[in-house]
Amino acid sequence: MKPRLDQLLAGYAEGDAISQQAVMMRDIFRRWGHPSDIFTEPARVSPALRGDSRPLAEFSGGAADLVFHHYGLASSAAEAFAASAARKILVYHNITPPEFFRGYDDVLAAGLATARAQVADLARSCTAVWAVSQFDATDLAGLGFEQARVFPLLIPAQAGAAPDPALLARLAAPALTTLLFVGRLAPNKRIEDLLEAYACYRRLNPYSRLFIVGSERSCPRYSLMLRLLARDLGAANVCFEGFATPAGLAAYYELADVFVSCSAHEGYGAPLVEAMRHGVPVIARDAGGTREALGGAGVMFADAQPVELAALLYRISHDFTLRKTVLAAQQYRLETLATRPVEAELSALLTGFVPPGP
Amino acid sequence: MKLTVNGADCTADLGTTPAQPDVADSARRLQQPADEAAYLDELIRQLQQRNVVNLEPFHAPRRPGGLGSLLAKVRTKLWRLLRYQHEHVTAQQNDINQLLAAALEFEHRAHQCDVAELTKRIEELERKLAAQ
Repeated sequence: MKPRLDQLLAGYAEGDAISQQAVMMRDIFRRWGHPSDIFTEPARVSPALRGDSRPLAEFSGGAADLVFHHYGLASSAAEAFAASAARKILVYHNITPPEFFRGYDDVLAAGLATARAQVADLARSCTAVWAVSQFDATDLAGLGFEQARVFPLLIPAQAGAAPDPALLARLAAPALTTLLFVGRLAPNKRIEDLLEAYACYRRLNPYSRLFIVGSERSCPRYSLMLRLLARDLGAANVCFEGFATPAGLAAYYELADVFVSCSAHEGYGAPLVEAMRHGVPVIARDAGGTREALGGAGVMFADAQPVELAALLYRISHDFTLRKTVLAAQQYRLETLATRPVEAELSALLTGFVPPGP
Repeated sequence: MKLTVNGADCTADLGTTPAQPDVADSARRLQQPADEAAYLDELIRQLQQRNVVNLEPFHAPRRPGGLGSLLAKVRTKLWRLLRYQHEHVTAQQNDINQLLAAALEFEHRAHQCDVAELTKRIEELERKLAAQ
């Protein structure tokens, strides 16, 4: 009997980058003939995925089994992982530095500080540690654990859900240039920089709109600041769209002319790849794992004033030659990702822990 | 700014930049507060500044050509026609906003006084306990 290869997640939701990676790993493990399940607190599973994961309370890995924990914040899944008798592999997805949240959510900032202080100890208690980007491996080294191996974030090769037709019909406005940001509204995303840049951009192109798609629940004080700032800037057509389902997200990508991210701290940046997959030119701040996600494609900026970012947005949305060049490079990047030998990489990383291959 | 397109440095190739908006006294002041209390102080200050509805005619972008000009004139006319009703409603809304903002500020100040009083009493009790 092959050993079990189970994964413990803090939450399990459709469209979530960590959940997608866990599903892809589980499918590979099952193809190899290993019993493999995803365990999560039932309250933290999105309704559409109930039945696709098992309750955390049912997890009981034996000494011969392997258990993976995708770590991004302290949770009951992390506690169950630490207490498990199974051999442990920590998959590090980055813990946002608490400085970003201080003043917006002091309790969360304290929790992040504790998680960052404890992650090295947790890593040392594991059989192996993987980081989903070189940036994350370096971050972990800075926190006191230097032996992490890089296993880049797995992103499905094909686009997922079809665009929501009702949303497409409601928001269709071919005369408007549509700028898009996707991600939860959290201070590390620096959406205020994007709002200021958009206010400048509207002076160049008033026939435009900015969609900000992502949950506002992760940091309500920050979301409130953004809404007030949007009003102060007098930038009409800033649309805070909230959380979107995978079909809704596909619709936003379909409507977008440019994807723009000002995030100052990203473990990897899955929405950048999602945008590329939908044929949308990507502009992103050169920070964290963004460079790795773009893999030489897209447009990256650093130290940009809002007016400079606005000029850049204008160029990408109006210079069709440049746009074509960017899209061609993004297509090449997607082809590289599609041909990534994921199973071989996983097999190499698991050498010595489980019998090789299917 | 440093600009990289498809991996190549294109910093010199940006193009013209528009004017910078003034954000000195905007919600930007809520960015990176020292702690949650500092955030709330600034938020209440911002709320006091914004407790009236702006009745200034807003700028609507105008399409070029004759149709654009006609639509702009229709919009301006509509704005003027509706102004009487707008101002009646917004006056009531401004009253409600001002009352709410003031009530929130009074509540916040009372809460701050309570916390300061309790902190002082706890410190006194701790001092007494330490002395025993």
